Amino acid sequence: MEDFPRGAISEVFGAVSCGKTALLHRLLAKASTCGDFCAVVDSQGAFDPLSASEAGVNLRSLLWIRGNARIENAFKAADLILHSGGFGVVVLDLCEAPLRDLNRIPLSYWYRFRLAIENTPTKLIVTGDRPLVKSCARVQLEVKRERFLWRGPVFEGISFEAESRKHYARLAG
Amino acid sequence: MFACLYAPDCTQEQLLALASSFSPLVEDTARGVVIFSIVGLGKLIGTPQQIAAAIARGGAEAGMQANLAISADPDTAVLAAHHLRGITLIPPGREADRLGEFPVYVLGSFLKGADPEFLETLERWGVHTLAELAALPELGFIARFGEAGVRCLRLARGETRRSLRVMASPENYQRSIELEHPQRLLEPLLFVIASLLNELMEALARQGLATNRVTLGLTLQKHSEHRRTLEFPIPVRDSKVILKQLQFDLEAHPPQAAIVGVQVRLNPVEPRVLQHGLFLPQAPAPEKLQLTLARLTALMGENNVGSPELIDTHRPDAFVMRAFSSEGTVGLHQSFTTQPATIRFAFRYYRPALSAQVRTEAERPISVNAQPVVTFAGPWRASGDWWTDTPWSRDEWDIELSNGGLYRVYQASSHWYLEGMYD
Repeated sequence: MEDFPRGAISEVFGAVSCGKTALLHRLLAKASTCGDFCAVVDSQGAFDPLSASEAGVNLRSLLWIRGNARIENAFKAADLILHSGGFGVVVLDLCEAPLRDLNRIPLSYWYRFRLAIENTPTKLIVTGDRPLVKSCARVQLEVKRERFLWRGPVFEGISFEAESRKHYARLAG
Repeated sequence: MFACLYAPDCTQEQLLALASSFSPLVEDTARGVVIFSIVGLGKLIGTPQQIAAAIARGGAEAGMQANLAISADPDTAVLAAHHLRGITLIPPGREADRLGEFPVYVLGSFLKGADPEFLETLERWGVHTLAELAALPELGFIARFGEAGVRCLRLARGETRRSLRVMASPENYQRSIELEHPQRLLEPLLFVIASLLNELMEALARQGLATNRVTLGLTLQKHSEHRRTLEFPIPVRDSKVILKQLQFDLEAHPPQAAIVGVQVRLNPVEPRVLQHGLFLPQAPAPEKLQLTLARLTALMGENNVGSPELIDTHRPDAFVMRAFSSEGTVGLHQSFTTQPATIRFAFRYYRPALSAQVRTEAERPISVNAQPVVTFAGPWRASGDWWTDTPWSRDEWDIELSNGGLYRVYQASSHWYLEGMYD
């Protein structure tokens, strides 16, 4: 989890049900228990407070911006939060966003975000189904599912591994 | 110079009204006693004798019977007004001479909290008058009686020279203005609001106060009113923060007609006092955070910005959105020790749930939206709130589809829905 640097953009991506959201919840849990304030810009309104709470996220120190499926608004919201400062972790969740909208994101947004958090203690984590941030990301993690964990008929979890595209380090979950 | 009015038979309101008609600096000293400054009245009225005569005339017109004393020392004026009938003028530097004949027990009302045997001790020493008390050596007296001794000596010598405890006038933190022409545009209206707001915030700052609620009243044409109230989680002292939030609020809730009058009212509260910890993680600055939250609410819509709070129920996706605040949550972090090690999945909702085409065989799903089911678990039956008007009941299935995704589908009222995805 320490592989996500402060003052930089990190990117977590992977296919459906690969475990990337579980990985993010762990990151939010760790940050919020350490006293950091966290923000989730949820472009599709998919965030589940219950599973986040069960993962250990302190919901009282979490700001949730529930999107209305408009990518542009999600980027504006992230921009406002990053420029207001004071948050330890900001998650921009672009999972399941339409590919057509994602392809329209101007590259200048990422440069703007990178400049906004440079030399601050804020971690910006961008999640999606595919890599989006390109050269502005200092860390790129691809999460790959190994298998679903079943105990009899009960679904227990997802076994996954995260491979860094830039540092070639591995995280296992 | 100070004037003291002593009138035990008059009401305090009468005394304060008479004093206030001569000076804004009035001290409500005790029941039947008020002191007020007459500095500056010389140019308006004349000599201290003329000032005393003017006060006496004012008292007579109000039907009051009072003693009046004027002195350079407020406590000397109180003693003189209390114990000398009519009008007493004590020239500066002659306080001790004028008070000298008073017995020492007149100091009793000034010695609250002092040793009750203090006056008896003076009597035993043979000190009967204030002149005898004033003649005692200062250092020795203070060594024996401490702080109370200092005060007594200064009272006897007419040297307390304290400041008046001026009554704070009940400030009305409300300003209004009538516009010459009906106004429809927001920007010129904000200009008017800003001027009223700045005036009010300056009045608050003079009293060392802040505000936690602003009420904006807009008088519209046809005599209707558009009223908006904004509450702030922490006291605010910056007019720009309030103005910006009012702007966002008016943009979201515009008035329905042209505006002919503006009224702004602030609720005064004590400002926030906060000691930051050296080793605490950084938190969003509250004033800046309020503004950011207002902007986010304007952008994303109400109830889409905040801190989720789970509701104690088994109903799926049950939560309420609370206002996010960086205040008061820091202390919670230390006690929050839930370890996430055993949680190995997260859920992502489709809000609202998507309608699904599910084919079943022997009451088991075999395909969802034409995608073959690889693995499934269920059904998990859940129901609740049957004692309310909104009962719910459903059969849930966890389903792995051939596209690699693991989803939750449920059947309620014979319809199938795709609720979300495990990730």
